[in-house]
Order: sequence, then structure tokens, then C-alpha cells
Amino acid sequence: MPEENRGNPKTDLLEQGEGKVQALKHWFRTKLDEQTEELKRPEDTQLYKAFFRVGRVDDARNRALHTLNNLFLHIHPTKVNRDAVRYSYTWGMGGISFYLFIILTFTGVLLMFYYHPTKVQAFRDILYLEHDVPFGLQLRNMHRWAAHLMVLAVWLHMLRVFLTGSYKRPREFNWCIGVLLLVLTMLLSFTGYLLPDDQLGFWAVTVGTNMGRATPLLGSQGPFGPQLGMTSYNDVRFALLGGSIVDANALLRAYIWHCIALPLMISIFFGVHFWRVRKDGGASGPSPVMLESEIRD
Amino acid sequence: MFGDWHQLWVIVSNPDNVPVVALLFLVPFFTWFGLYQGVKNDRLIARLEADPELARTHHRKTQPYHPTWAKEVHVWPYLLRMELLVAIILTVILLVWALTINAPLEEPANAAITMNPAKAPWYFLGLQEMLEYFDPWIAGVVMPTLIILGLMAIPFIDANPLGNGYYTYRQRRFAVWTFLVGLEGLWIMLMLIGTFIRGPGFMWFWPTQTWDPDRIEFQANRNLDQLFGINGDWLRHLLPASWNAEIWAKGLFGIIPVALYFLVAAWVFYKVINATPFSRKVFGRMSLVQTVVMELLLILMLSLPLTIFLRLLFRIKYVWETPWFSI
Amino acid sequence: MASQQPPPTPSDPITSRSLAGWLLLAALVLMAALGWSIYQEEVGLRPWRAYQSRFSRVYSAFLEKRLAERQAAEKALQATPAYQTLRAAADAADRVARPLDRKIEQEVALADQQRAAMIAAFQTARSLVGTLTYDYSQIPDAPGDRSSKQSALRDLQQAIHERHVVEWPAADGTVSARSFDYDQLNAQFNELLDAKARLMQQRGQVDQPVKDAQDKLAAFVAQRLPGLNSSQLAGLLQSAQSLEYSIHQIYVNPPGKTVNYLGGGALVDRCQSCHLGMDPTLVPPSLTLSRADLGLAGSKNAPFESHSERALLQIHPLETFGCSTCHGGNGRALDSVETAHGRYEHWPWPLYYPENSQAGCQNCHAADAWTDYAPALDRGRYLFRVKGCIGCHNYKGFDDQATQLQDAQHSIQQLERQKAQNLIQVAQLNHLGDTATSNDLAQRYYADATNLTVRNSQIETQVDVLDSRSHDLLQEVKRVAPDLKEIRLKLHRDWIPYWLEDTHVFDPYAQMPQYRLQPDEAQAIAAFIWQDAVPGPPLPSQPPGDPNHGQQLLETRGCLACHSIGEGSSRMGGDYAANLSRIGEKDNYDYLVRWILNPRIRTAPYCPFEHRDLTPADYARHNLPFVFDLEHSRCPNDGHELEVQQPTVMPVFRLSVQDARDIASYLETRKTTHAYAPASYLDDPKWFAKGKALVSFYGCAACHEIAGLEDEGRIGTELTDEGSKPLDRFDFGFLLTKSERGVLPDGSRSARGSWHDLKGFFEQKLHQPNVFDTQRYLPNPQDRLHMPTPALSHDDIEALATFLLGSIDASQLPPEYIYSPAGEAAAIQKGWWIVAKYNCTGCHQIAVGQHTGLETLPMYQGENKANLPPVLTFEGARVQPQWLKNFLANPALSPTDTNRDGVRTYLQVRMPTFDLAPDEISALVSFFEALSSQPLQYMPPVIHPLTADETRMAREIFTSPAAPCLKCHMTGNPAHDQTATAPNFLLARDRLRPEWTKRWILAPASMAPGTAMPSNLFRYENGRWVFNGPLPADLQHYQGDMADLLVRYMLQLTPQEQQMLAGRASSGPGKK
Repeated sequence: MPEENRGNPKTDLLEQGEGKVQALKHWFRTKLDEQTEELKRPEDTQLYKAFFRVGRVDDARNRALHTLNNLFLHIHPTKVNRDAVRYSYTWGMGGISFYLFIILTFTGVLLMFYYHPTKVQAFRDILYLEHDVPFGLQLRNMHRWAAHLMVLAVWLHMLRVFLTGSYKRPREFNWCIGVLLLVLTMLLSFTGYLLPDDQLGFWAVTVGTNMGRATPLLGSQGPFGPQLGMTSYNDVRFALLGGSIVDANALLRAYIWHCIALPLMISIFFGVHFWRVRKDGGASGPSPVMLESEIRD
Repeated sequence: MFGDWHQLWVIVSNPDNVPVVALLFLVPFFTWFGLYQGVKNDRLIARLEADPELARTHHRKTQPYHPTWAKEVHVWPYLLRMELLVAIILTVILLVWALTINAPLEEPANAAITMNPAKAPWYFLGLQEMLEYFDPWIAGVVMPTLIILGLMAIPFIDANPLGNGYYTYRQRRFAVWTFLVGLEGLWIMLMLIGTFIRGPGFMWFWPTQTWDPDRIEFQANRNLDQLFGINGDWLRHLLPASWNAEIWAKGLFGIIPVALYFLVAAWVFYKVINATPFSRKVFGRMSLVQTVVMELLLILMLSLPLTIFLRLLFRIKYVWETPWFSI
Repeated sequence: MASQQPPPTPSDPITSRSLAGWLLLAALVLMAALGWSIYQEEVGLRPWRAYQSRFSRVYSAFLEKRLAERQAAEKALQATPAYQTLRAAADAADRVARPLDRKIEQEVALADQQRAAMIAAFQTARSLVGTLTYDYSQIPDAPGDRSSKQSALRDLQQAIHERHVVEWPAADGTVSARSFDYDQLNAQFNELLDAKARLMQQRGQVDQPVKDAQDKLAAFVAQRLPGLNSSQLAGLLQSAQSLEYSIHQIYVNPPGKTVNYLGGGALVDRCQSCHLGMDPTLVPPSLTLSRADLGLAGSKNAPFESHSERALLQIHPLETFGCSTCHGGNGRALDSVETAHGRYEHWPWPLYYPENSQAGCQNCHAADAWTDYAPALDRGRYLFRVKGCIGCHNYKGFDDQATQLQDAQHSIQQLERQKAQNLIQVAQLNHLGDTATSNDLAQRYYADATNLTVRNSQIETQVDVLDSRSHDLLQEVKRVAPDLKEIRLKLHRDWIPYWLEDTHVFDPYAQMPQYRLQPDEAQAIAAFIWQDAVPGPPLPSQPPGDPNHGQQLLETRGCLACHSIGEGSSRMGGDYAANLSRIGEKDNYDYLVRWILNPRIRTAPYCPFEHRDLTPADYARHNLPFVFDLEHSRCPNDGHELEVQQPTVMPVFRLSVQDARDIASYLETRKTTHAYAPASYLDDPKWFAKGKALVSFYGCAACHEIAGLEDEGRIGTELTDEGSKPLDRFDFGFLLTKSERGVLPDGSRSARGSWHDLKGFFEQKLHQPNVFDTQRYLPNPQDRLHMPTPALSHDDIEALATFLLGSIDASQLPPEYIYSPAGEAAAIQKGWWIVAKYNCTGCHQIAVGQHTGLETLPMYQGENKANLPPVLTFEGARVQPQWLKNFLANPALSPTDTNRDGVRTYLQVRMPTFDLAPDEISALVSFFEALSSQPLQYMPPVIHPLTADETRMAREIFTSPAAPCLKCHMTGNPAHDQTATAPNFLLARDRLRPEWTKRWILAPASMAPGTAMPSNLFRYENGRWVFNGPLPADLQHYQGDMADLLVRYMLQLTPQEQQMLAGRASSGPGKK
């Protein structure tokens, strides 16, 4: 700064101010740099750690923890057979079925907002869904098609499991659970069929439940049924429909089976199924082939 | 009249039949896909059986292998990313499907107006088709129960220790055959018939044949005993007058063919099971219960196509008729 | 091998490979799919948006044009002096009022300012005082120390007297500080409010003249230029241009009512979202849009017209009925035209096609015989009756009397049976009584016996009631087709098989539909009816008449109102009855003469109780003469009512025998040279049994009266609910697949695609009733569909289809929507049923805008319109009910001189005698009264006799050259009546209603356009009607109403008076 100004109180003040400003600027710049550095590595932020409970270092331990520490992922083991990751072995049908079930639950819940299981309302509610509710038509379509697809996926899953002999020791029990899940899936789909209360569902269900009449011993037209005093007012079919014909009660029962009882059951069996998958040693393969000569008796 | 492609299109384009059409392609594909990998494994097995030395060192998979590679990989990210991909693709498929095809909605339910044909949902059409050949109590109750129980029984009656966790055909010829016949040859086949062949009145229409509700089908089904002219004359004088000789005669007569079938079928299956040395070895491992249950299930399963065969070719309705039930 | 020697340190295909690319791709596709679904939701499922933007465009253009025209017109009007003067007046008034108005305005403004200035101070003061008052009231009065109470009081006082300074604005704009205490604030504030109110009121008074002047102006404009004015149009244009995408919805949900087919819940109609022209908020009722108006005449896909019948919307308000209630369709759906119109497989209530749109009316108006605004539907009902559908098909409402008659007869049978049993019992009881052991036992028996006899007499009274009812019913019930009992007397025998073989060959317009009979069937039927008919007695043979005169009579007496004659282009006349072109080939002359003279004559009476025709022997047995008519209608055997007339609607024309012969002779000339094969087998008894079986199989007896089969019922399905039967109840036979794919029976393609619906079924069925037998193997003719083919034009088929489509099960609709008229409306419908039955509309116009059969005929064109029968739209108001009763009973109004009309003898066309049953007559009378909205009880007003002066006065007017009444009106003098064109005044007394008569002489032209009666005979002058013609000086002073006077005079006119005047008129100058 120029000589002659030295000692001038006014300029001193200015200098001091100058210095303060400089310091402030410097402080701000450094902080800013730090911040940007952090942002470059989001997995280092406190937020991230709080969320995933896992550090940033991408090492084996952390990868394992990623799965272990995640409620949704922990149905998986931390590591799997390297070749099971390939699509070719599992076809992913199990997972697909489960994913479809999630979609169905989601769309189903939304549909329940608009649906009354009563003779007067049911059909009109479907019309309402199709013509009034935003995305209602797509919602209904997705629910129906997902349901069909799920039945398909479950069948293919069974085919795969059989072809890979995965039901063999130690997975016999889980296979049985799987069979139950298959049945439940079809029942879910079937109970949903009646709910629109249109001709299609009505007659499908009529045909379906008429078989119930023929249950041996318990059906009014089944072998030894009449002999045991079975009439169309006390037999299995009556129990299914809550009446001797497909009517308001049948609608209500179908609704409750479809929206509460069956989903509950199937979810429980899902749990068991997955649990056993893990306990029985994860995906069954692809495991090394075994030779006939190696059979030990 | 044949050559009615419009009719075929009507069936195929029915929204609820889309999954069945998809099935037409998916099932064969995945069957092939599974067996293809099975055959690859079988080749490897053959090589290893031939060369014990190699068998000791070999990693015994058809997938690419290198000693330095990890035997297991982390679920995150290697599996999860795959799952994510599949989930997305599936969602897209569903969205597009839902956008292009509307779920059917017909007239309000009306018990006074019967639908023709009145069909069950496609996945139950197998059962409905069985109804054509069996009494409801068999088709609608016994068969489904047997199917479920039979499926559940599989792991406990399959004594073959091989082919656990990898695709193979050679090591499980019998199992694979039985299962494929059961699932695809019967269940899915019946379903396809129910979808594409069964028209108004659940009558049999060949593809491209017009579904004419006024069509009338010649139906003259007789029972086996009628074929043999059983009327119980020879029994009448043996029985108290109060007893209906004809019923008894038929009842007794019916036992014969049924029993016969059981014996023959059992014997046939026994032969099949013991066809090869290997299968003999497997059979040796089976307990009595296992054998009996398996035989029973197989016999019952075989009875389905057999009955269909009898019905379609010889128009035989029942082989065993009693006042309470008929088979 | 490869897998055994892997390349050195290859990278792991699983861990090294990255899925990022695939994931990205998948994610992008997912995004695209989501985008698509949003597009679908916003655009794909909302096609109505396109319609709305298009409508906004075209409608704005249309309105702009209208607006321009209107503005031009208004400008032109404003140039006219009339407008100018009014305008000037308005301006003047304004000029006067403005200064005062301004002043008041300023004062109001000042008051507002002052209030604003003080409001803050006022509110503070008020709240403070309020609070302190409350505090004070809360402090208890302690007897001891009152200090706290007093201090509080002090505070309150202080607050009340505290002064508040306010910056007070004054009128001159200056602002001065003024101070108020609380009370002053209060007073001032209220004062200001009052002041403002006062001022506003003053202002109103001041501006009143201006408003009045402007209103006058507006009224003037509105009167000169009706319709929407430019500002209204501008408003519409504004709203049309700024039309925003929105769903236009009608929501009907009356509590506790079901207003749509789905039952329960609300009706939601969004039709107006595309049919924007139907939305009254966009297109006011005073505006009608056609495609042409919008410049879319050619466009197939621009549903913007306004409703074609606004009047209907007045009766059926949209907010109550919506659209789909009448038109069908899926009112809720908007995603495509098909779904919205409900024209897809699974929608049970599709939109009616335009040609059948009136089916919607029938849904609720099923009980009507005539529905306004629904010509096609009315035509359908007409055809249903005339083409004989009603003969085989039951339809609730049609031909009720027949059912009533059956019921009556049935109960008579029962009662008689019971009576007989009782008599037997009485005998037994008496016998028991005679032989009884103890006395009181005997008493009991006799008592029971007497009770039974009493009961029997009760029964007899019941039977009497039923019989007298049957008397009328037997008169009312008419058959669709002629009596076959008399065919031996009536027909040429050889003609019968030819006719049966193919009715439409003989007469392409035949009422009788065409049966597809096998030759042997036709023979059997012909033989049966021939042998079944009465053989005689032979009719008196008639000498031939003059055909030319006959033809003239046929064409002028009114036969052609129902009958047609001639074929093809030369055909003329109505289609209500048979075509007479070839009648000469079928009928016997003698019978024809009798028939024309009186078609109701029977050869023998039919006894419904004994189910047989009576013979002279029956009468002889009770030594009675063989006489039977409406007076002698009881059966000599059992005393029950007989059918004494032919059950035909053909009336008696009261012709002279000679005239009848002339007409018959003319008809006999109507024949072709067709050679008939001799039908010798008609007498062969072997056919009888088979013929009888066939006749009842084909249900001939439902239309024809056939001996032995009189009680045969209808063989067809009931059609009352046909339109709501589920589609799969209609048997399309082997045409089902074709119908679904839009292939018509003849192989051509149906214009509207699939015709697998009720419309398609009805149309095909009516066009060719056995069409659904196509391809069926039915060797036995009686297994085939045997509905005969009616002769119907394409429009007729559509009309009937409309009628059937609309005939739905009423329970599908909310009861309150169904039209069930009471009082006058009911009387009107009741009357229409009778009018339809006797085809009164063939001659008379009854409903405004309704057409008659005669008016189309060549001989009633041009000035000959005057020869048409009278128009009856005002009949109820014109004539007195009692007179009308008499007239309908006997149109000649004379027991003896019957070969003429009672009222208008000068008319060629004649009102025939219908032999109406009493209740039919009274129904018709109430019908006419209700139709011209007259009260159903008639009180004839008192007519005061005239004073001598008045008589002279009236006579002057009556005979004044300005109004020579007797020149046109009949006087009873035959020479004069030749040229008369108006009824005789002597009838007026009993016939006319005074009030109507007055209206008529004042302004006849407005009531009956084109009448010969002169208008403007009177002018209205200070509160009374004055004669428009020369009056003798000494009568000028008359102050009364001259029209009234004339009416009174006319209604009290005596024959002598008329003679006298007529004489004067003929001798006086009025003649030349």
C-alpha cells in the first residue's frame, strides 16, 4: 500500500476490514472444497451410513453386510453358488412368482378402495373403475393379467424344480410347501374370478362349485352323500357359497377368501418356503454332477 | 365346416385365453431349455464315468470354470442386479399387456341366462375336461386330491439319489418321463383341449371348425356290462327275490375289469421300473410302502388317459357301475 | 475340452461382467411404458377432447356469423325513426335525471368516507364499554363494602364519557378534528347508515324514468328482432371460444329410486361430452344447431346437432331423465364410440338406432294408443292392429274388451253351474225335510233350502250384471278378419283355394298375411271352412244397379278412408281395410248388396253360452219370432246375451237400397280375367277333420269367426315384453354365426355389421318370418316356423321393429317414469284406443298436425278441400256433450230420414253409423272434451231471451248484406240447401256451446284456416264488440256487446223466424 497513507486511521480501518474479508473468503473456499469432496463419495456421508449401516469400502465384508443388514435382502444368503446367478439354472421363476404376488397385493389393495362385495354394487363398481377412476382400467387389467401370469410362473417354477431334482433330500418338505403354494395361487385366482359379479365369473364359479356337490360323503350328489343325509342345503357346496346358489353370500365369501384368508395363508407359506430355502442350503445348484458309481447304499 | 379361421381367431383373441396361448410357447421352450442342459450334463457324466481319473479332478459342471474363480459370489450386487433387471422387464411386460388388452367384463350375473359354453377359468379347464370322462366326484374331487397328494409324495417315493441339483435326463429317465407326461401330456393337454377344442355345449370342435350352438353330437355311451350283456339272469335264482339281481350282477361284474386293470398295470410298471440295471438298483433302494404308493399313483394316473381312450374310441362310459358310484 | 484348459487367468464372466447397460436399457423402456400409460389415461381414453375442440371451432364460427348478421340487423333497426324517437326519449330522460343522480352519488360517497373515518374509534369505544359493563355486572354486591363495585362503575362511566377525536371529512373536502363520546359515536354511526339507505332510495326514484324509457327501447328491439340479441350471442361466442376440456355429465339420483337398467344407484350420462349441441348451457333452447349450420353437412363424425325435438326436452327434462333412459347406451362410458353407445357384445342395453329411436317412448308409454311426437311408433301400433298381428299375439292394452268378454262369459258359465247344483240340493233338502223324523230337523232342512234359493237369486242378479256388460262387450269386440260362417253366401267357391294359396298374389296389400301352406293343406282348410259355413237361407236376389253411379258413390261417400282401390301407382285410398281392386272375382253380388247396406247383419245369432249359432228352431221352441238385434239380444234358450251383429268395424252408411246396388254393381266390375280352377273337392267330407285340425293349428279362428272354433285363443307368443327378452331367447337358428359376422340371410353384408341383436331379429323376422328355418331339415310342414308373412313396406317393418324394441318389461323402469295418465289425459288415451279401432282418423283430423286418409285423395285437392269431413280438433269446445252423444249414436239425427248426414247434408262424404256401445260413446265424448281441454262436466250456460229491441237489432245484423248468414247456412229449404255450405241454425240451440260460437263468429279463420265463414264481422270498441256493417240510425245507440247478442239470437232462433227471414233474404237484394 502507498507510503503516504501509512498512519492514516481511516486506511487502517480499511486494511483490517480487508483482512477480515480475506479470512472469511478463505474459510468459505476450504469448506466448500471439503463439501464437494464428500459429495463425490456419497457412500461416505453420515446419511448413507445411517441408511445402510455399512461403510464405504467396497470389500467382501461390506458386501456381505449389505445383504445381512437389509430386512428385505436378508432372505438371501450373503453369497450364492456362482453359477446359480445365471438365469439358465433357476429361470428366476420363484422370484418372478413372488414379485407378481407383490404387484397383485399392491394393485389389489388399490382396487379394494373402489369395490363393494354386494349384489347391487359389485358390477357397478367395476364400471366405475373402468370409466371413472383415474388409471382404474389399467389397474384392473394389471391385476387380472398379473394373476394369470402368476399361475403360469408357479407352474414353470415347479417344472424347473422337478427337472433339477431339487426336491430331493434335504428339500422334500419345501417341495410340499411349494405344492401348497401352487394350490393357493390357483385358489386365489379362482376366488377373484367371481368378484366382478358378471356372467363370466358367475358361470365359471357355478361350474366350479357344482363339482363340490359331488364330493364323496360330503356332497349332496357325491357317492354315499345322500345316504349320509347330504342335501344341497347342508353339503360342501353350501358351505362354499353360503347358500344353495351363487348369490350375495357367495360374493361376500369369495371376497373374504380372496382379500383376507388366502393372502394371509399364502404369505405365511411364502415365509416358510423362503425360510426353508435358506435352511436347506439355498438354491439347490447347479451342483456338481454325481456319478452312478458313487451311489453309496 | 372347417377352414373357419375367423373362429380360431375369435378363440385366440379372447383376452382370457392370452395366457393359454403364451403357454403354448413357454412350456415347450422351457422343457427344451431344461432338457438341453440335462443332455449337456449327461454328456459330461458319460465322460466322467468313462474316465475315473478325470472324475476325481473335474469340477463337474458344464458352466465355465477356472480354479482362480470364487466358488461363490456375493448376492449384492451379482444376484440382486439380476433380480432387479428381471423385475423391471416383468413390470414392462405387465404394463404393456394391461394397456393393450382389457380385462373382460360381461353382462351382470344372471342365473336366468345360461352361458354357452360355460367354462371354468383356463387353469381349471383340465378338471372340467375330466368331467367329460368321469363322474364329478372323481374328476372334481378325487382326481384333484390325488394330484396334490401325488405331487407331495414325489420326493418321498423317488429313491433315486442322482440328479439332485442339476439338470439330467439319463440319470432320471423314468422320473422325468412320468412328470412330463403328467404335467404336459395330461394336465396341460386337457387344458388346451378345454380352451381350443371345446365349444358350445362343451362339444368337441376341431380347430377352424365353426362353433355352432345348434350342432348336435351323436352320443351313445354304454357301460362295459352292457357290452357283455350282463343282466343278472344267471344270478337271479341264486339271490333272494328281494335283491335286485341285475344291480348285483353289474356290481360284481364291474370288479373284474377294474381288478384286471390294476394287476396288469402294476405288472407293466414293475417291468418298466426294472428295465435297466440302474433302475433295478434304484428299485432296490425303495421300501415296500414307497413301491406300493408309487405303483398306486402311477396306476391311477394311467387310468385317466385309458378312460379317455375307452370313451373316445369305444364309447364306454362306465366299466363298473353300482347304485352308489360308477367308474 | 475347452473347459479343461481354460486360457491363463481369464476374467470371471460373472464378477467382471457389468449389467449396467442392460439395466439402463430396461429402465428406459420402463419409463417409456409409464409414459405410454399416462398418455393412454390422458388422451387415449379421452376421445371426447377431440370432439370438444372441434365443436368449439365450428360453433364459434357459426356464432360469429350469427353475431355479425344480428349486429347488422340491429344497426339497421337503430336507423329507423321509430327507434330514434324512443332512443331520444331515453336520452332526454337521462339528461333530466343525471345531475340529481350525480349529486346523490357524491353525498353517498361522503357518508361512506365519514363512516370509514369514525369506524376505528367507534369499534374501540364499543368494545371497551362492553367489557367494562360485563366486569361491573360480575362484581357481587357485598352488603359491607361497595367500593370495588363503585370503582368499577366509575371506570365504566369514564369510558362512556371519554371523548374520541376523529379526523372528520366535510362536504367541501376539508378535514377537521371532531371529538365524540361513546353515545355520540353510536348515534352518528347509525345516522350515517340510515342516510345512505335514504339516498339510495332517492336515487332509485330519480332514475326510474330513465329505466322505463330504456325498457321500452329494449322491448321495441326484442319485438322487431326476436331471438338472441347481439350481447347474448357475444356471451355464447365467448363461452364457445373459451370452452375448456371437461366431461359434461347429467347425474340423476333421486333418493330411493332406481333410474337405470342396472338397478339401484344413480344414472350417469356423459353423452353431452361429445354431443355438445345437446348441452343447454352451450346451446340455449332458442337456438337450434344442424350439421348444415355448422358446415359439417358431409361429416359422418360430428355429433353436434341440438336435440331434434326441443319440445320433448320440455316434457322430459334432462336433469330428470338424462339421455340413456330414453335412448339406451352406456351413458357412463367415454373411451370410445362403441362403448359409449353400448354397441358391444356385453352391453345389454345398446343405443337405439336412429330409425328406431322412438322405441324409447314406448318404454314408458306402453299404455298409450297414441303418443305425440312419435309418428313411427304410432304407425307401428296401427300396423300391429291392422295387419292382424294382434290376432295371434297378445299385447297388453290391445283388444282388452275381448279378454273382458271371455272373463264375463267364463264367470257366467260358473255361476250357472253353481245355480244348477243349488237347485238340485234344494230339491234334496226339501225331500229330506218331508221325510224328516223330527220336526225341528225338518225345519232345519227347509231353512237350508230357502237359504239356497235366496243365494240363487243373488247369483241371478250377478248374472244379470254380467249379461248387460256382455251386451256392450259383444258390441265392442271386433274381429280383425271377416266372419267365415257366411262364406257360402258371400264367396265364389273356386276363389277360396286360390286366395289361401297366396294372399299376396291376389292382393299385394292384403291385410291377411301370407301362409306358406302345402297344396293339400290349403285344400283341407278350404274344404273345412266351406263345409263348416252356414248353407243358407239363400239371400234375396238383387237386380243390377248402375256401376257408374256406384263408382261415384264409392269415391265420394268416404269408403276410401279405409278401403283402397286400384293397384300400383293408380292405387288410392286407405290401408285400414281391404283393397277392392279384384273384389268382383270373389264376392257374390247379392251378399255384397246386403253387406253394403248393413255389414252388421248376421244370418244367425251366436250364443256364447251354448257355443253355437242359434237356428229358427230354437226361437220356435219358445214360440218366439226369429228376430235378433241389439234390442232382442237375449238367447231364447238360456236368456244370456247373444252375438247379434257381425263383429266387424265396417259401419252402416245408411244408403238407399238403390245406392247399395249401384256400389255393389260397380264393385262387381272390379275383376281381372283370371281363370279359377274349379274346386270341386270343397264338398268332399274327407277333408273336414284334417281341415279343422289345420285351422286351429294355424290359429285362423283368432281373427276369423269360424263355427265350432269361436273360443279359440291366440296362438302366438305374447309380445308385451318382447323388447326386454334376453338375446339368447331369440332363436337365430343356423343364421347365428352369420348374424354375428354381419352376413345377412341373402349373403350380402349388413350395413351395420353384426345384426345379432333384437333389432336384427325383428327386422329379418318381419321381412321373412321363416328365415330362421334356413338350412333346417324340417320335412313336416307343421314343424316349421308358421308365422305368416305380412305385407309390409320397409318403413312399416322399421315402425313395427320400433314398436317391439320399445316393448320392455316395465319393472325394468322406475314406476314414477312410466306414463300412467289420470283424469283428462286418461280420457284422451281411452278415446284414442276407440279412434284407432274405428279408424276415425281416416276421415277426421283430430290431433293438430295429424293427417287423414281422405285428404290425400285426388278429389279433395284444391278448393275441393271444402268437401272434406269437418276437422275435430276443437270438437269438444264447439259442441255440447249431450248433443255429441246423440249424434254419435245416430249421425242422421233423425230416426226416419236417415239417408243423409245429420249436420252437413250438403257434404257428399257421410258420417256413418258405427253402432257404438254406450260406454264407447261416452268415452269418445269425454275424449273430445279433454282433447280441447274442456271440463268433463258440462254446465249449459243460461241464455237470456231477447227484448223486442234486441230482436230487431239481432235480425238486422243477421240479415245485413255485410253478413248474409242465410246465404250459406242451410235453411231447410231444399232448393237453397243445394248450394248451402254451412249447417242449419236450428241445430245450433242443442249443438253449439255459446262461448265457442262467439269466438267462432269473431275469428273463424284463425280456428279453421280456409273456412268459407267470413272473419272481421265485428270490431272491438271500448270494451265491447260492435258490428262491422251498416246499422239503421235508431239502433246505433245500442250499448251491449253485439256479438253476444247475435249468439243469443242464433241459439234461440225458431223455425218460423228462420222461414220468415229466409223468405226475406230470397226476395231481398241479398239473393242477386
